[in-house]
Amino acid sequence: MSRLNKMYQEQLLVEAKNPYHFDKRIDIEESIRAYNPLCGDRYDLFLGEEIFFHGFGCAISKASTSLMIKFLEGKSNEEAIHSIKKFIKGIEGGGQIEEELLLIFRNPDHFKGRHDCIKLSWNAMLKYLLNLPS
Amino acid sequence: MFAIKNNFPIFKAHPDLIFTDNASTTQKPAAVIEAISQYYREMNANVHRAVYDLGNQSDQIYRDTRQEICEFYQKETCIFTHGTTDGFNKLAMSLENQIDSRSNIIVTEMEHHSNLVPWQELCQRTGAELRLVGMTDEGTLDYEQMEKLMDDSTRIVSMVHISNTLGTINDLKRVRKIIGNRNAWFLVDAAQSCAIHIDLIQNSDADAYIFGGHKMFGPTGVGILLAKKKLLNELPPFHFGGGMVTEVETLKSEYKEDVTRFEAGTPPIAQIAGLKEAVRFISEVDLGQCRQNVSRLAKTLRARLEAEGFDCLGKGQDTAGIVSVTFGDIHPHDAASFLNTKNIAVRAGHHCTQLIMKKYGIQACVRFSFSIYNRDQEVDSIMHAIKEMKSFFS
Ligand SMILES: Cc1ncc(COP(=O)(O)O)c(C=O)c1O
Repeated sequence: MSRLNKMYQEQLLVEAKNPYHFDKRIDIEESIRAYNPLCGDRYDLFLGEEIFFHGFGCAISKASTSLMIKFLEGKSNEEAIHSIKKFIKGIEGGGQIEEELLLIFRNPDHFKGRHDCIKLSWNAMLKYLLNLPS
Repeated sequence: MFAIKNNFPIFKAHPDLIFTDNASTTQKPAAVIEAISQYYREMNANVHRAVYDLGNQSDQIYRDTRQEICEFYQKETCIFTHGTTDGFNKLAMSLENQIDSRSNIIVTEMEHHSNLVPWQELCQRTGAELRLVGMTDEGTLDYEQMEKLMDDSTRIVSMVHISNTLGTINDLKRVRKIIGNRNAWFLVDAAQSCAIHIDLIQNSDADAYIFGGHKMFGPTGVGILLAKKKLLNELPPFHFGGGMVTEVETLKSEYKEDVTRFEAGTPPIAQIAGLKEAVRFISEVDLGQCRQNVSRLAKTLRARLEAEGFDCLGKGQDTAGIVSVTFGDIHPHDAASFLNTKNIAVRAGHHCTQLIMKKYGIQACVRFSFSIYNRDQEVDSIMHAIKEMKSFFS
């Protein structure tokens, strides 16, 4: 596989073009922003019964956010914290990514220079969850 | 142009590299790399404090480079900083005692953050007003607005010479005229003009020009603040410690009178040795030809991008070799990653000019910036890759 096809696998591009729950749900009161000041990527995550997101970003951050939302569905806050941490660690080279849904990211070396794009919404979500009153 | 490219070892290490990120940093000629290495191999010693031969040699490099730089740019004096950002921060600290709540400071919408944020901070500390000169959709400065914004309370006009995002060359002579004999310092961010638009620095009359060595084929870690003596004479030192003092008592000290009063601590001597070679290198190339080349490359690329239906920022009439573009639905970072796989190095993002991004209602763009080693056929390769990219992401 070429370097390019490793980064932009079919599945990633499909995900980015048809992102899950990509909807500006301003009716949902609770929202957080995932923002990368270096590139200007900016998503608003609307945190209701279900999670939606909207905003501007690259194919990688968009696909990653979309997959995160699918991945967190049905998880408790505790489970979400645990699995987000595990995913971020995996991207940073500190463990394996084994979850079926996230397999396109299992080889972080294919995404050199773009790890921040992958982690953008995951970091924002983690920060939010960790700051919730217990 | 072939001969010029051969001076840069990076292209021997990466023969297929198309480097179009020169506005971020330029590559280094072998002579500069060798000067740094030779300095550490054969001359290393600290300045100011040695009486032995090696120390004297370092002192001489430090002194000679300063003088050569002043002669090269035809300015009265200069101080070594650590870069453009460092230079502006130092000025904004040092000019504080000339600013109060009645003053205003003028900058432009085109500024790199390094010539904007330090002034925002200064205004917050002093209560002074920060005034912003806008630009047209074509990417030209609104000089008429500048004229209106300037008044007798204007103390500083600080502006970018060549926009690192648009390539626009701003008219420093015109600004000098607008300032007239007002009691205002005229400061110029010359980060994008210091390498090959030397003539425009030489022929203009600002009070200070601020830039960094790495933008002019020299090393990182060292910068230049060219200044009129009149300006430096009014500035208090901004950093304190060794190297800038004469008599030190328990509670207070006396400072040197020459420019080294602005250079506390050990200067970046090896980088200064490299910078000296960078100046020598630039002075040996045909700069007129280089300016024509980068301008032609940028204009050709722009025309071909527009023919493909992509939006380039500004109009690029008076361009210094920089083209910024958005690729419709293809995000700038995806475009940059794609181009990287074709060995084309570009920068994607806001290029530290968020005011320009806001002006055009975008978050980010892809920037191609050319320098003296880029060639016409590279534009062909870039366009070829872009067409491929278009179908890849479609
Ligand atoms: C116009 C302009 N000003 C300032 C800077 C800041 O330079 P540095 O990061 O080297 O301090 C740059 C470089 O990015 C620039 O292009």
